[in-house]
Amino acid sequence: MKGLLLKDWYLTTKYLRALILISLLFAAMSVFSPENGFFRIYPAVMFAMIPVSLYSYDDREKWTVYVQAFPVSRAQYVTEKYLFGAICIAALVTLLTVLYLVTGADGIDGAVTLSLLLGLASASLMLPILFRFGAEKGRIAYLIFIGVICGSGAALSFSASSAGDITTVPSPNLGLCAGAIVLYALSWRLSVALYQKREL
Amino acid sequence: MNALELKDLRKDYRDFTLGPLDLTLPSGAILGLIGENGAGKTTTIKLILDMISRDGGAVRLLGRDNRESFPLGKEDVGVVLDEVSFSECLTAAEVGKIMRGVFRNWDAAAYESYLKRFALPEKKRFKEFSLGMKKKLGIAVALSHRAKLLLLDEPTGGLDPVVRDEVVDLFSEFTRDESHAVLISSHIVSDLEKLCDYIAFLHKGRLMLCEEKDRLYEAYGVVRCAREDFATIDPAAVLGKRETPYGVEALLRREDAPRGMDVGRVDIEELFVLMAKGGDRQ
Repeated sequence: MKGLLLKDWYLTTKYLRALILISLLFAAMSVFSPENGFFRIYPAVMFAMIPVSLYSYDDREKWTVYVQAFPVSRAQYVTEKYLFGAICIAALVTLLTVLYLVTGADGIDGAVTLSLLLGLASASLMLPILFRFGAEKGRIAYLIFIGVICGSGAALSFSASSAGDITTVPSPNLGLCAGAIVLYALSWRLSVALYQKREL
Repeated sequence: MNALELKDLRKDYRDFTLGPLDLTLPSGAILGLIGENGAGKTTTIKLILDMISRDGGAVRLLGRDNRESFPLGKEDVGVVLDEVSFSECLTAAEVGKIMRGVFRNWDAAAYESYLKRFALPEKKRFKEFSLGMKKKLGIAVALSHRAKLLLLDEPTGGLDPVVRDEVVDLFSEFTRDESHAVLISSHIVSDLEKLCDYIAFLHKGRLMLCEEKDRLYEAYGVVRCAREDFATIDPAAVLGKRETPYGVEALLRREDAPRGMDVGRVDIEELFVLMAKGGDRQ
């Protein structure tokens, strides 16, 4: 597991640097312009997509096949992706918390809840599709998903009436956060089951 | 103890069936798996590693059922697949660090010495490696975690003759320890002839033969004769033949050759080619 996490860390720093930097910039901007829904949604969804992108690289570079030559079970492979995804979302949430605390901006609870919720839910929906159908077919679902999320985020941010919804939605709602974590856990179990059946 | 035992191993695809395969590799020995493209060599190795699901039979690795012993059992197995597939952005040094977190018995010093021995740059990206360098990196990884069994799928493909020779010596060195064993598949029959104690022929998914190499030389031979002389040989005794402008070359069991007929030595490549042709005729 340690080796897989390290491998994904290398890939993230080499392949996904630009995506992370842009996401972090948007995350910072969301603190200063909380009315802009796009800035609030984009970083969470992009951070959730890190394990999705990493799986796509693994699939393209045939690491998904090669890794089976090593003492790594398919369940461990899937688990590592979920763990890496959870670390990414946790890092974003931590960063947002620090930004809100440092700047003294309002709405820290809502921002944290929204990021956690969106991040975990996005990954929960995307990863099982990927583990079942592979990166190539999963890419279509990925593009549709990103299009819908970013499109609705942008639409909401330009709509004055809706912008209010975005900033006020999930105030510190522990139930929602717990639900997202449960969804993530269920998604992990489903992905393990699906990936074990797949012929690579 | 046997390092590897395959019993009635089978895999069914829509247009191809592998097996049933029965094959045993004793510890301390090297078995060469020979077969044309698509014969099922890679599929066999993937089945042994449980990378693909089998449709029948059993695989025992180092005395234990592979499904029960994996994934931990893979600690003892060094693998080089036909395509070495590390992420393109990684360097050999990073691959070493990753493998230290993958294998409990990772030997960083051995890995570094293999990188030096193969003249592999530590800081160059895998993407910039030639095919031969990729193979060498795969071999370095396979040999650096104190494996007891090596499963090698075309490990010498893409290597120049000098390095190939060195790699073949490395595998040979590996089995000096009697608890070690090697299963190697290759198109380069001369490497296998030099290296192996046992030879297995796979043809269109069927195991045509699995014998000690020296036993093959003793048991089989080639008759080169005119067509009229060939006609006197019992067709049932002919395992394969090739017609040339000068006559016929026929593969026979030495014991089945007509008395007085000169039976020449057969090398492994010729044995395989003639046997495959015989198999196609049946």
